[in-house]
Amino acid sequence: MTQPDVAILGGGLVGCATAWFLARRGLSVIVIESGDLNQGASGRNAGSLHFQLEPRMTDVLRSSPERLGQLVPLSLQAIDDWRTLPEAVDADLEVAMHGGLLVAETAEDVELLERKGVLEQRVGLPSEMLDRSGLARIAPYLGVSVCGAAYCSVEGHANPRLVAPALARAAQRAGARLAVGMTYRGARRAAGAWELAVTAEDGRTLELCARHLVVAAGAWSGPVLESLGAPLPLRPIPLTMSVTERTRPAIGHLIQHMSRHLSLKQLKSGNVIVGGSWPSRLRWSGEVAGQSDNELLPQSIIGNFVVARDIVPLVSSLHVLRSWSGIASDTPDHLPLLGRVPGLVDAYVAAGGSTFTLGPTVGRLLSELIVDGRPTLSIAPFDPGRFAVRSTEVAA
Amino acid sequence: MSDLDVADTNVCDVVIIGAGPAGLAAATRLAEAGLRVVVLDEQQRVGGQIMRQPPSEFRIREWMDDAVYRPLKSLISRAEADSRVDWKMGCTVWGVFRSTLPQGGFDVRYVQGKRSETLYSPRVLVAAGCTEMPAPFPGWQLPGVMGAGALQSFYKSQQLVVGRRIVLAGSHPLLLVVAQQLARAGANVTGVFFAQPWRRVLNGLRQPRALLSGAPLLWQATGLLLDLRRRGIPLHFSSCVTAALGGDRLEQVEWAPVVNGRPQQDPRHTLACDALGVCYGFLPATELARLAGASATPAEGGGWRVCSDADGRTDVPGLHVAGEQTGIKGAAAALVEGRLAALALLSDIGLIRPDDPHLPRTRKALAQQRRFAQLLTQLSTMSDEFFGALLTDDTLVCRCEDIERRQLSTTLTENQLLRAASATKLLTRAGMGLCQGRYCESTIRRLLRSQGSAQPGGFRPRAPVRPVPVEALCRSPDASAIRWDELHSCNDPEHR
Amino acid sequence: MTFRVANGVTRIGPMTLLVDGREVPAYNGETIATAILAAGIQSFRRDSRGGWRAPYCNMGACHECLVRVREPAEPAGTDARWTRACMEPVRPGLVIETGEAP
Repeated sequence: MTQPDVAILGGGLVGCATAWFLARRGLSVIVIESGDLNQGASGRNAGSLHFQLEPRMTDVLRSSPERLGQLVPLSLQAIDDWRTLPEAVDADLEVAMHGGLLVAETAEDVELLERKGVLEQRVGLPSEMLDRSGLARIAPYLGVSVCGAAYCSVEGHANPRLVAPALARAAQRAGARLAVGMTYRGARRAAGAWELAVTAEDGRTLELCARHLVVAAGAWSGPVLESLGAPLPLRPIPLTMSVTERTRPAIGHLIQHMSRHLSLKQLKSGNVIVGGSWPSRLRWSGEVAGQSDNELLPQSIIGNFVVARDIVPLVSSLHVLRSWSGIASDTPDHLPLLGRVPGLVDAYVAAGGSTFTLGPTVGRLLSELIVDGRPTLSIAPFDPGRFAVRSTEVAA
Repeated sequence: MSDLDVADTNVCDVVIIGAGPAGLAAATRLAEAGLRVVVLDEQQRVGGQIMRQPPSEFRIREWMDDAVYRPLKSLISRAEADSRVDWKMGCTVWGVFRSTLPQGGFDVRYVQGKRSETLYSPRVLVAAGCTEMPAPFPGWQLPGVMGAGALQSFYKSQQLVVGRRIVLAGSHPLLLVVAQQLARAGANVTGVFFAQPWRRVLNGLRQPRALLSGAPLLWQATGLLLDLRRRGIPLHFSSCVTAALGGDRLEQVEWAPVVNGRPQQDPRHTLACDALGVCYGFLPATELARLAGASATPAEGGGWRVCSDADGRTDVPGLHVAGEQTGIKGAAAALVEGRLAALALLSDIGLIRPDDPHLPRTRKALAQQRRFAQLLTQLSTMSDEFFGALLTDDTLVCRCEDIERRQLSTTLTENQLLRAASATKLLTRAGMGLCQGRYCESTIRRLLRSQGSAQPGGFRPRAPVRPVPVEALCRSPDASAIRWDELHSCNDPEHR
Repeated sequence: MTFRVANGVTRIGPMTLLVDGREVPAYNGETIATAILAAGIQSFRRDSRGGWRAPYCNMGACHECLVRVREPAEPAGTDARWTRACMEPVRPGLVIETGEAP
């Protein structure tokens, strides 16, 4: 591969998905990853496939609900993408889409859920409100304090440990090249292309030229964009997840809580994964390929399980096997960055937001943007240009 | 971040994790200086593993009567009688965390009974010892196969001889001690197998104080070998057990000669038995110190040893280590290291002067112990190639998740870009079971190295370091006061 | 067979435990693992392939010796919790089930 069409920085879900879509369209692609594939948020998240509007966007729901509606078309595409992905990449991704419940324990939360439901109805996302008796029928494992929930029949989960590696293998079969242990050091425009400097693990520096540059480095996209002279507001968010021992199958849905920060699901293996954006302590160098070794907070683990036990009481008979932390990234308006990097030519970014659920779809849309000049779904609401901090000279 | 509402009862000057020789030596020295010391250990009584005491309800004539155990026995009885130390036994520490309080220090979380509790301390000494080095071979998961240390502790502590026909195999001189102890107790030991040539074993025995690393002194060793010979216990050198065979349980072992450091395919012999004690060495149990942020480097034969200065200070201020944490060295050296760590703590606090003569004296004593310990480790650690050859395709690598080497090989073949142990764990589930990777991490690292991955790294140390009941967590004293938004503020710039 | 050392050892008891419905003697201070092994039972937990496991490390690290226990006073319907047999001391009337954890 002398000069690939596209160089992708970041070997996580978005990077591997984009590589696969591009390679299938006949482009030559290289993915550059400083560690092993899928070791960032892509491999460490809780694997939720949630299509309902997220609880963390509650304040946005109150102030500017129409912004949330902008995510729904992507979610609808994502539902389809997850259904077809396993066969398309010829791998079992443990996709289970048997329904999701966004639960409420108070009247206020129920009211918020109803408002959310109205918005979702308008834009075609399937969700319905369930009261106690409705819940008792489909989710008898829920605690008595749950008084209502928004049910979305297609929500569920997939196994984040398997997805990006499967996409990587499929991308390789389609002709993409993936380079691990290669650390991006910088890039500049020269002769109508991007010239990248990367160092291998043995210390050698290599130069690579590519027509298009994609920044799909998760939280590290921030420092990378900074290095390109195109900073965008992306905040690293250190989150905590925990897993219990295996237990017999009892919880068939993806469970989320409207206000108490809980996500809970039971895997095919029987283990229960508990999350909900409880924080860990950020250890973040802010460097382009820096290490992140977040420290767990015992209070987060405990707080998370206090909620888990209230909502799904059977959890109290289990043991926590391990907790871990991953770094997600978020923007000031909670919507992803997806599109051309402002002020640069042939450079794109896809980061921030719930990129596990939307990961494959984002890859698809990015590939369409690069190959066709426009994606099949509008990504205008996610235009990184909405945050352009300063205008940068476009290099010739 | 709002301050933890810290009651007086859970604040102290030093928390020591581990009541083995290192922990006990440190605790008694620190208590002597008037510090408030809390010692936490999972076991019911102090002593650690080498000196694992019987239940207090037992009365035993002549327990561990050998002269060489006297200093340790004396330390144990002094410690147990020392009411200045708060001995929290039967307590399982599940994490050591840097405190979110402005003054720093550590938040030590442990389970006692049915509750998770918390202890705050400005200083923590981790002396959590070691575990058996896992050496997978076909059938090693069968009931009846256990670590030689386990056979020994069943006998020594529970006064139980496990099995009717016992075989011991591995490379650590501990095997000889266990063979004699069990034979004396009336057990039928039908074979002891050393993978090394006999000369290498003998060199290991020429070192003084070897018994307290589990191995006997030379003069005792000679007596030991003669005694075993007299009892008709066959000793095999340059031989190893290559398989444990049986239906539901161990019925016989298969063994083979070891030539040029590798078990031979041919000839293979069998020996009937119902108990097999395996010991190829030990790995430091350093999850807690590493979880709290201390740096570590690979230990001989597997596992991680915590990096520390000469006196046991890690690169996390206030976090100290002693004993096997910094490398397997045995009980005698651990005792000295514990004492040294206590002196270092006292010096840091200002209760003794940095030029106190006890410091250099103790350092010197430790250096001697360490030299011997290193030699013993070298003489009893088999090579990567040896362990690689013991492992067949259908050997279980991850006992907890039932993952065979074959499955790992397939995943590595299908995912050529896999290099790291943590990535391998993520993709295969190996290491995700209840033992939290203690019995498979070293094997996976070896596999990756044999596939050309120079630095596969390890599994990230994770809290909880032991499975914790959810119910116990929910009963934690601070459970009802935890607020999600307050926790998030710990990452605000002014708090970092 | 596996045996308790008698010479020079004085124990208090025996108490009676129930292991898989069978009465098994145990002595004060012993671990559940000791009582089970001394009774000639070698199988503690089942693995995912139907094989059996038994204590390997005897120090609470390997988690092979897991059994389910219930206090004598607990009603039969309650979920029995699992425990490490090598770490948990015996108590009179403890109801133990092998093969069920976790």
